[in-house]
Amino acid sequence: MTVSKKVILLGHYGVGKSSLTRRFVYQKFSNQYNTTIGVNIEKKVVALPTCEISMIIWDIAGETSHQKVPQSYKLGAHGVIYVVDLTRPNTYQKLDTEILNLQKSLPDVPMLVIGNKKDLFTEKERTDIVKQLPLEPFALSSAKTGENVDAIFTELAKRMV
Amino acid sequence: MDPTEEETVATEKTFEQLRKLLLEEEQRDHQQLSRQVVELREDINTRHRLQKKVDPIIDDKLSYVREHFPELFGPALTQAIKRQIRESRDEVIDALYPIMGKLVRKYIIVELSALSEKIDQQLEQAFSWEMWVRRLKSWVTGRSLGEEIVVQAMEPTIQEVFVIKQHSSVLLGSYSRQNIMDRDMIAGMMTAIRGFAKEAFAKEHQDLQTIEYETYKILLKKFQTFYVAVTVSGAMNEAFKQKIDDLVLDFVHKVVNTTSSTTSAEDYLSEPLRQYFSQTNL
Repeated sequence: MTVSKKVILLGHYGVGKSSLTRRFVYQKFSNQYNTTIGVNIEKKVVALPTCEISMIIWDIAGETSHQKVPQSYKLGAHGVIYVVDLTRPNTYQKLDTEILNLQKSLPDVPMLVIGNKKDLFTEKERTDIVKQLPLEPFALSSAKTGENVDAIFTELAKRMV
Repeated sequence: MDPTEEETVATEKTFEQLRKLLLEEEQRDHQQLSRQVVELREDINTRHRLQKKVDPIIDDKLSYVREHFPELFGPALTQAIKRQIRESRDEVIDALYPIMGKLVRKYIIVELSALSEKIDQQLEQAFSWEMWVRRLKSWVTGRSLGEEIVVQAMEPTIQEVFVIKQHSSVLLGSYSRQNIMDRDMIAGMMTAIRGFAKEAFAKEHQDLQTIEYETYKILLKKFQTFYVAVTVSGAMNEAFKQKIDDLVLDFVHKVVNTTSSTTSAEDYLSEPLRQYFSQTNL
């Protein structure tokens, strides 16, 4: 049985939401930065042991706060991936408040916080950055190398069932 | 003592030899220079000889100008055109009007040819059963057979029907008369467009009702937890729109409201949609 689920990607502009989506759906990466206008919709079916999840991914244009994202884009979401850029502290400084507000507007919806662009740091630097994050991320990822990308989406699929 | 005649001749001979020795080279140079001046004058005064010399230079310059025209004259031309448009708006409009007219005429010709082809195809079936039905219809309605064919050629047709959950964009069912791209993505994009229109115009109790794309129209009908999108091709009038509204309301009342509680499958409305809409003659 296939079940459709709406997944939204949130976070500041340029954190790598579209790159993560592109990597997950098409297994591709480009160094070129293209701003997302409004929203871009992609789909990928993830096979779980019990069922198939058809993930309708809403890759939403980056905003400094999720409150600036149109409410209608967030409504009806079954899962959220909140992406921060490990190279830019301003993308995670208010992470705890952002997640708290999101949980209020989307109660009981699974949310995963992801630190992207991990390929740009050494193991030691990454450990130091994670300590600075207001919330512990679910995973650190790299859209460039593809590291952890499938695992993140699969985990969200499991949590949405 | 006067020199003898012999001595005088000898002296002159010596002078002559001396002059020859001293001036011979200069004379040669002089003669060569004179020749060159004559040749140069002929070069300048004879068109084809001058052309032969100057043409390569002009060609070089011309190709340079041709290659660098935008940099050399672009800004000046833009300025001149802007000034011209500003100062003589009416003249510019007069100049452009025939070109615009031609473009519009070309578009109409293309569209008419497409229509004419369609009519030809239908005329080819002139002796078919359908044509006799049309003749009968034409006789009953009082419209000419040609008019009847044109009306039929432009007749609106339902191409697709989608039932989509509000907000989540999950597709509850779809029916299509043609092969279209991924239906889930269409449902997602349509939901995003509706959401965008709502946010952009900040009208809480108003909704996007139609999306037009060339000869296609997408009619959107909102219900409490879902909305129905109907794609129509052809020239749709108000009466046809009303028919679709009635059809959608009837489908929701008879099918959706009775089916939803009895099944757990996600696209549970696809089969009922097919059964319902394939029977309609719209």
